[in-house]
Amino acid sequence: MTSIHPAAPAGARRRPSGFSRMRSDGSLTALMVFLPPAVLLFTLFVIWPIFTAVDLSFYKWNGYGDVTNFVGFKNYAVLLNNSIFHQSLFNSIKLLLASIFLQIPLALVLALLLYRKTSANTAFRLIFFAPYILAEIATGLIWSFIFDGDYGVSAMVADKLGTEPFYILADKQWAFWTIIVVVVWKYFGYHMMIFIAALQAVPSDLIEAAEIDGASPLKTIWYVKLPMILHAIKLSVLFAITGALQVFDIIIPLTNGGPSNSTHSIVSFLYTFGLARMNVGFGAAVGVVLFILCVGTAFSYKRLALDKGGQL
Amino acid sequence: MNRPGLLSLLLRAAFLTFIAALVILPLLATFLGGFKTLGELRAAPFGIPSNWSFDVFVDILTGSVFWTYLGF
Repeated sequence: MTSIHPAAPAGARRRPSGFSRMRSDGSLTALMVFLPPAVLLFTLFVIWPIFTAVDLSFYKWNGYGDVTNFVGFKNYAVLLNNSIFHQSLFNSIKLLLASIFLQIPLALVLALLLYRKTSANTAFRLIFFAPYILAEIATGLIWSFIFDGDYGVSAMVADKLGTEPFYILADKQWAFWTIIVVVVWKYFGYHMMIFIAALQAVPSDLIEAAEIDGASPLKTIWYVKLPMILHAIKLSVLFAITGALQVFDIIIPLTNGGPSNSTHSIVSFLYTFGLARMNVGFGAAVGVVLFILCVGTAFSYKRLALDKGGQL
Repeated sequence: MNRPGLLSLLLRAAFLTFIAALVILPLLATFLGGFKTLGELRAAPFGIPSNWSFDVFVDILTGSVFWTYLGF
């Protein structure tokens, strides 16, 4: 390697690269001993299923018997022309935007109000974090009671106002908003906890210095606290993105994708049309598209936001 | 450091209580729902159960399904 770059500045100390350095300092032995189990497990449970999915997506297969009916890119062609898939893609993007622009600001405001250690704040934090602990299916069921147009809160409100009962879960225009509400309700506490942890790590002398200089509380937040927790916000946005693309078990009990398949996310679309309808090849194709979307979004977000300025 | 005024403290408390209510009420309804009969749960999902019934809890804890799923 060194002979390729004869003009390297003499001042720069040449470190022997990768392999030979590891061989000389003995870390190669450690690598040989400790790496194989991890690589084996990762390959078995991550890499291999991905390749199996890619392989299956080229077949028409109902889940039983041998996989023989090779159809090439037909599953993908059907998928790209499927209007329900377009709707579910659009829904996932809506959910992603709602997670970032509704949920994270709410979590941030609450974190700024609650990050100081007092007993009242601890109680509030505990309450706000509770929905995150709840199982997703249970959450969906609770909220389906609430949104129910016959017996739920929705019905009570309609009764009080003296209007017709409003079946929001069966309303094509509004049903997806219920899912956004439930997702925000369930996960804002999680993001709030990330922000609280970051805010507590902000050195208090910085905040005191800003206050002594006469900065108003809002200015202290904007110029001191927010820049200091920017890395946590970026991380939180990453979690919100990957989480929003994977929402599934809130949709199933709440609307089950209905009315007329207008509230599917990509994952519930995969489940309904790939697995429940025994069209495993098609489901695999959806999975591959979802995988590419997730990896693409996460990587480009990492490139655009996380790597900048060397944070994280 | 200037102390926050009474108004802002009240606003803060009101906001936090509002959000906390939004979080707690569904959880509380679920908890209370466990003590209601199915008919009452349907007719009045929110509110105190008219008579506290522990039947479902007994059913779950004495049945086998729950323990199987739990891993016993």
